[in-house]
Amino acid sequence: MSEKHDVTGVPTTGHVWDDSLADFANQPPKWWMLGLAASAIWVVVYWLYYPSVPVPSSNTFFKGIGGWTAIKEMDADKSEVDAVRGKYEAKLKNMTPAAILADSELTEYVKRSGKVLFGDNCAPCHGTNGVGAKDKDGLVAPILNDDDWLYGGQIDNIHTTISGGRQAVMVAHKDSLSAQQIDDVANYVKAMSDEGKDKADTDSAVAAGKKVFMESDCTSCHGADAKGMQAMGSANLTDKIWRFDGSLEGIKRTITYGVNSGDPKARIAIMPNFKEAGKLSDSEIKKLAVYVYKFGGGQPDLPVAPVQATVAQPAASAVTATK
Amino acid sequence: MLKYLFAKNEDIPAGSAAIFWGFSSIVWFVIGTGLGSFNAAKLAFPDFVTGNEMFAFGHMRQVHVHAVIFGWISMAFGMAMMYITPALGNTKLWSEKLGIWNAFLWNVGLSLGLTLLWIGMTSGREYSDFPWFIDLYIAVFMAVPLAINVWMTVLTRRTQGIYTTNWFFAAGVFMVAIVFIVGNLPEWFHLTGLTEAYLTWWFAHNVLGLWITPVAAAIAYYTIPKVTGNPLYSHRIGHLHFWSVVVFYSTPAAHHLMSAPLPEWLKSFASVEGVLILVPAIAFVSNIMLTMQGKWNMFVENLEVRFTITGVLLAIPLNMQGGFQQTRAINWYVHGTGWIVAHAHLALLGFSTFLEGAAVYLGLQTLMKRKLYSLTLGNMHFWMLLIGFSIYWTSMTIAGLIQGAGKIYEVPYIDVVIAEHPYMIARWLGGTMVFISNVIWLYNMWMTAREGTVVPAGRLPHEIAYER
Repeated sequence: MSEKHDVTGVPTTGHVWDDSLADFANQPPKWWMLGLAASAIWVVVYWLYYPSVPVPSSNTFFKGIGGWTAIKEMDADKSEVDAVRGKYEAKLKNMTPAAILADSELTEYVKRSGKVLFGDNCAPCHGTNGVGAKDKDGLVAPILNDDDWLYGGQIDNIHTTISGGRQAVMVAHKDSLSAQQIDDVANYVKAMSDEGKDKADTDSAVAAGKKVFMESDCTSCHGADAKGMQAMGSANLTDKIWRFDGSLEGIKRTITYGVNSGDPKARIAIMPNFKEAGKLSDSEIKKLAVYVYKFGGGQPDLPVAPVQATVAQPAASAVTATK
Repeated sequence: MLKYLFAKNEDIPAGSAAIFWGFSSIVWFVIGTGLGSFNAAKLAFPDFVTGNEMFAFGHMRQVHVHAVIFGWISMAFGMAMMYITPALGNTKLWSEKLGIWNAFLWNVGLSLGLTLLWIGMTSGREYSDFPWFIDLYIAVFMAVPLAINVWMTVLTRRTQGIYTTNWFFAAGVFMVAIVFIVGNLPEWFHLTGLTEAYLTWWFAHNVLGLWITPVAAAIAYYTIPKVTGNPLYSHRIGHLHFWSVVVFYSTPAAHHLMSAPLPEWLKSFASVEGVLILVPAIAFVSNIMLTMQGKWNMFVENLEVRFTITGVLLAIPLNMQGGFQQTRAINWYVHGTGWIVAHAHLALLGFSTFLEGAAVYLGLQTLMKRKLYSLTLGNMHFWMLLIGFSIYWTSMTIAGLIQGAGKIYEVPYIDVVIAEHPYMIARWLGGTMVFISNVIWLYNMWMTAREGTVVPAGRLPHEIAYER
């Protein structure tokens, strides 16, 4: 059968395919066969070490001489981590968030694990590090690294917000107010933010709006001073911080359709209840409360000691940055 | 081509079926990579085309994957089989008419299946997403006729032996039918839980391991000896390659489920099979490399050889990754990250696409007896494909390592998303480059059919590539 190839002198198999195609009768190179043998040895070793061969009649399998199981490996990894974290976690369990804040070592620990919790649970709405995230309707959720708080910035307020969720309602005014009234009051609200409340009150251009504000239902939530009430989460309208779009058009939309009012065009502002959803444990919520507090905007508990008041001061500069 | 659907078999010119398959495959390649580029844009720019569920990533990804696997890769294989199988048997294709009907039904069925996936009708199982009746159609009207034609051509050959390439082709069409029928059992019998997961991945992996990988390798066994004129280095290594693929690579499916509650012995079994892919891979690569002795100049000069050898060289990193990334020690790090996406594209867009490209370039020129319209455009296609793929692979591998680190070290997910954003943009650039190169290829092949220089009788297209 075989014939010598005219150039190399190695015999071919003697076949010719497709007019010109032939193949040599070469044996595999020695290094190749050695590699094959080595891999066969490796297979045997691997199978001896790990659980490998099933034994169908007894419904079990050869467990491997290494005694390896996935559960054992996971437990070993977990205990390594727990050895580091365990002592802190045990302490955390029975402490209030305020007590954690008072312990600087614990606060440092909580800030680090809080970063992961915040990133996975909070950052999608509040933005990485609480700087806020925006979609086409504006801010998705309040900015957390300033010192302006809808529901209060004391450690217990923050803890309550995270564990219980928040869902305020501002009713739609498209039926109770005329288009002209909405225009007027929106102008007044914008003037309060732009010029300050005192100046807006004396500004004759927005006097009509002030009248609507004082005589309709605005004051019942935002207060006669328009500074909002933290108990119900109504916004302070006299500062330059806007939860929703602060342009004239944006303000008109908020007034017309409300917030969480059920109207299809209403603004949506829902903070989920993380405790009820089973998403976060008690310790994790405490950690997050401390972590958020430590963004810089946390407010000390009353009564205010003079020293603590200055601590909160640097955060105020962040307010202008978030405009 | 459609005029031959109702012609008598003997009236159809030899090679018509292969040409039909070849052009279909290129069109699907353009569509498939276009969809890929679109999907990559969605991942790089989240606000790109929103508000319509048909263009959502979940829908479009399935269409992309199936357009590429069943359109481009499988139809290019069909082309290679219609052309190479008879050539190696010194005979004609058993039935040109069956071949043309097969390609026609393939295009119709695939268009229908992809449309259903597009509008959201899916089985929801990765890589076997088609609904059950499309799976049935694929088995009966697409896979079986191809198998019959290949087997009958091999059986009616006019040579004494069967050449290496045809072992793989004949085995490939046989194995893919089994893989398809068994792999879709969960669909047909509503199997659930781990059984479903295992069979789904048994299908997904064996489509690669018993269909795409061996058939793509078989193309190199033909093109390299044929174009260089060197006899294949070793018939015996070809044997080792063939049997080690069939034996060692039959059931590595569980290595996709290393974190699932499957029996540990099954994972060990699959993991070992995964590493043993190195045996056929090294056999294949060394056989082709040794065949190239004395003809390495053709790697530079000849387009088909360059495509083939690039594909063969890419088999090395492919199998190094594939062999080791599924072992317990490495899988926990890379599982579920962009690393795997890069690896899948190394297999399909790297290794196998370059080999199929060689077959389609060589086959269409030979069968149409026309020289490539523009070698410059051919070279452009090659380089844009290679560079685009390299950008894709590199960026996704890096993104995968970042994701792996994020997963292990409890980095907040959103931070990982931000960190990998530049690599997502790079992936989109690479993918778009691949898409553009394929548009160039389609134009080049179309012009070859219309205006390519006629190859004189007794000569091969690559022999006159540089003649004006």
